[in-house]
Amino acid sequence: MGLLSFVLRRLGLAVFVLLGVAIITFILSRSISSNPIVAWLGRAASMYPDLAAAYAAKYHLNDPLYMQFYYYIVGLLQGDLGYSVLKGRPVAVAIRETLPYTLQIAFFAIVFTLVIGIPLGVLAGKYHRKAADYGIRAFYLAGVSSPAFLLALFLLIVLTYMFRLLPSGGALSPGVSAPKPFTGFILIDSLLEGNLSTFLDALTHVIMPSLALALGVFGYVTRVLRASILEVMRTNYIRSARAKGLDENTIFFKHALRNAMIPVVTLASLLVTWLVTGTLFAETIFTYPGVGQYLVQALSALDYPSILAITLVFAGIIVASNLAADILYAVVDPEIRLH
Amino acid sequence: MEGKSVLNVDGLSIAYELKTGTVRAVDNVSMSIEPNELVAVVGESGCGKTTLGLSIIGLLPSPPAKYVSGEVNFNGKNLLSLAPDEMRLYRGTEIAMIFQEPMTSLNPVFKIGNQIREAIKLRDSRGKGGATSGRDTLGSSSRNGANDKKKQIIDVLNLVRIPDPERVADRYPFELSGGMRQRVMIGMALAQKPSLLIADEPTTALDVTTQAQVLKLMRGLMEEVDTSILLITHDLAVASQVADKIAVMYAGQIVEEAEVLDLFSHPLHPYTQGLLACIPSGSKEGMKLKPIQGSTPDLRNIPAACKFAPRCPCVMKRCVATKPELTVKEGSHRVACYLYQ
Amino acid sequence: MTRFKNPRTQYFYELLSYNNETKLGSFFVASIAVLAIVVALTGDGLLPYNPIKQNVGPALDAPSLQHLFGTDILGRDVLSRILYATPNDVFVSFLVVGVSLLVGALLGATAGYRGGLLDEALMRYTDIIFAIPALVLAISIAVILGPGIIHMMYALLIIWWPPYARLARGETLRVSHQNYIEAAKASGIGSFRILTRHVLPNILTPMIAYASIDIGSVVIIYAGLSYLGLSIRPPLPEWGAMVSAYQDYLVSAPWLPIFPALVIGIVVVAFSILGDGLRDAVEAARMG
Repeated sequence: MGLLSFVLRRLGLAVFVLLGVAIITFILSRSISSNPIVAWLGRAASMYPDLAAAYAAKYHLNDPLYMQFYYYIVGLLQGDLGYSVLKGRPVAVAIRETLPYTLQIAFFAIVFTLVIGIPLGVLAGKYHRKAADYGIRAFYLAGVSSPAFLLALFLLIVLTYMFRLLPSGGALSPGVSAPKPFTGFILIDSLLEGNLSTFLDALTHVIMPSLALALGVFGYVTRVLRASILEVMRTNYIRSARAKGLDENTIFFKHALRNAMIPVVTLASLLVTWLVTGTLFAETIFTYPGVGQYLVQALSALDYPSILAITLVFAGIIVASNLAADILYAVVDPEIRLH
Repeated sequence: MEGKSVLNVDGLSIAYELKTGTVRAVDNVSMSIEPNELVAVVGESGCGKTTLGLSIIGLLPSPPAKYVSGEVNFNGKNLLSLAPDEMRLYRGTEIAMIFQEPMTSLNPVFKIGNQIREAIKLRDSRGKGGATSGRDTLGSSSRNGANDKKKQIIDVLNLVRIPDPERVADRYPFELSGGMRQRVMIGMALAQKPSLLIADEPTTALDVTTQAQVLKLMRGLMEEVDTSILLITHDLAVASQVADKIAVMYAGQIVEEAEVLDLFSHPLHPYTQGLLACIPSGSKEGMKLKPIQGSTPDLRNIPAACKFAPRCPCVMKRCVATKPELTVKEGSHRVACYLYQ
Repeated sequence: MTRFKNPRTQYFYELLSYNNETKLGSFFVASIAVLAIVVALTGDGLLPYNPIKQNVGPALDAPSLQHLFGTDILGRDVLSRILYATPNDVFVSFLVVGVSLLVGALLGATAGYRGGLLDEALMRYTDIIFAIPALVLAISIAVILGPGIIHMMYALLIIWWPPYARLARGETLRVSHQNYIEAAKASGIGSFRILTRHVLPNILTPMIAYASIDIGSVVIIYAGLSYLGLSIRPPLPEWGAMVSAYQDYLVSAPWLPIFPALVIGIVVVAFSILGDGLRDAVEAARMG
């Protein structure tokens, strides 16, 4: 029962936060222009007066502010995020098209982050104050301090231009056609079609942006894990394990690591924030058609509805991942579970 | 007593090298523990008793600590001459140790039964599971299978008188009280059938009632399981409840050692006398508590004299000139004081 | 070693020389700060070349002895441009962090000390801000305000203080249960004085440790925003903007995008080293 009430409380908080974000985006949208029609439609308002009038009616944009907010929320719940002049279609549709690409990058970025970050963290903790420790710390410091575009450029130079290993951009190589959009994720869709060559092609294109993100972010995992290991090795229960006569390897890998990993889980939610930030640059440099690139394009075009809607969507992703991390933490740490 | 001593510490000196100076934590300590004997080492914080305990089991962190001289003989073998890997084989199954803070001494993410099972497995893997007289209570490795392991775990919990052992074995440490956790520690330590159990302030973190229970348990188990106990404590009253022999430590040295009754009826060293006078007791109602004047010496500046001299009410010229050695006064009563030399 | 008579100065001196990292980091950060101030005061006077004037050298010239970082497409010296842009990033980040520290400390300490509705409100508000990635929120605000450094700074100032408020609140909670606060309350000192005289000085040290790493984060985000074109002020140089402008020259003239990007990274590393060291110092102070 402890777990269920815990989840419900967290869920309530999540909903509250999302509502707060919606309020902020609403305020921002009304700050663009006192004319709410312009806020909703951006420049389309002047370009398509009939469309503007239709929107005004639909969203009661001539009513007082609180009514507008009400219909704004109703619209959100129905999946209406406004209209994008840039893309020539509703924002929600544009996001639905681009989000899978970003999620693909995010997925591989997390995988790379863990694959790089965890072993390095373990090594740095085990060989504390030896050469390996300092080397690893220098490495992750470089990664964490580099702006995402530096890492992307670096990878581009090394992997694409120097060693010709991976392509320079796009989601698929020119000439390769996209699979039928079943789920919207080209990786999954190509597999569903049984089209292995398309799948592999898509895979090679997703690696670079994901790796660029992972290099910027793995340092957090390594740092936290290293500090956690050092702290755990100083505890009384590790001293008890030694007194029992266990060998150092068992003590390190069985007793220490299991406890040291716990803070890494809470870190996962922070990672998402950094990944989302980095994806803007990675997608731009690698011309990967995800939400990040969409946002940057919207920025240049001053497509306000898109910008604000994407803000809301990103917030939603972060809230969802925080929730998932909290639940995972409760599962992993027995003490939280039974409180 | 006949036979070989379980533990024989001979002239042990250990120093800590700090940035601020070298500290003589243990100064020429010699003592012994016989089979089935409970010896208590009593002294204030910083007198070196914990260092002594850790050095016996080989858990003294060796960069700051340095073994200056002496031997630690366990069943005849000098432990200080062993390589770390060899010493590890003695830990747990020959010499076990439990510590002061039961709240943090158990791994929080593993269940109690799991942790006990680990101790048992280690014991079996070192071939100590075989039947030895008096230790069959804890099972032998000739029996295999998960059920038998489970039974052995329950046996351990029963040994330390933990009620409802099946449920406790399935619990996590944070679900138990301090007293119960300490019993689990004791049980886990004894499950490995050591010849010597070192207990460093095992009851200090517990309330008085639990304290008495745990002490009584340890004393009782000593006979049941055929082991010896080295009890380290700052509390003379605690020591008096369960010890056969008490060694009083001050500033790294043993200043007096005697059997319990003898120590309490004829305390010789002025420090011991002072300690006894400090114990609040009902029979001395109305009398003032007499603390010992002064404070423990800075162990970095070692005078060539008796370390207690600055605080001693009976100090003589001789005491400030040279250090008195621990010598036999009568029978098994030893004291390091010029009043008796 | 007691170098300074004033206890406060002595305290900071000890803090900054706590270990190798703080010493190295302090040196780096101080150098960067000095550079920023010098450039801000002397303009292009001390630079090798005029950063704005075109054709001070051949266009697209690779790094050489005359032009250590090469020249760009308009024949401008890259090194001079990078140096000239230093005050932007440095001042913006110091300012944003400084103001956030102050505002956050005051709000957080008050909330932590008083508790109640103010505390709840602060926690919920920061929850909401935390949910939106800093960069994205900064973009949204900056877009509305319009381009320009000042507007970018406003955007950052609005969103940057919550972590400091949280930190201040946490530290205040930890500190307000300590004895000297109880003693102060018992002797009848008013809340405001307790806050300013007793609470704030004691919560500042961990906040300073956080702030020193945080400056690096502002530099990254600011560079990111200028990369995205939100502070367009051509022909004046900006590190991030230089990277995005010269991105396409990655193959033909790699020095163009790489050097500004590297400089950003190095500046952030300097702050990270200092911040890491300070964090250790704070830990030690707490233990001792």
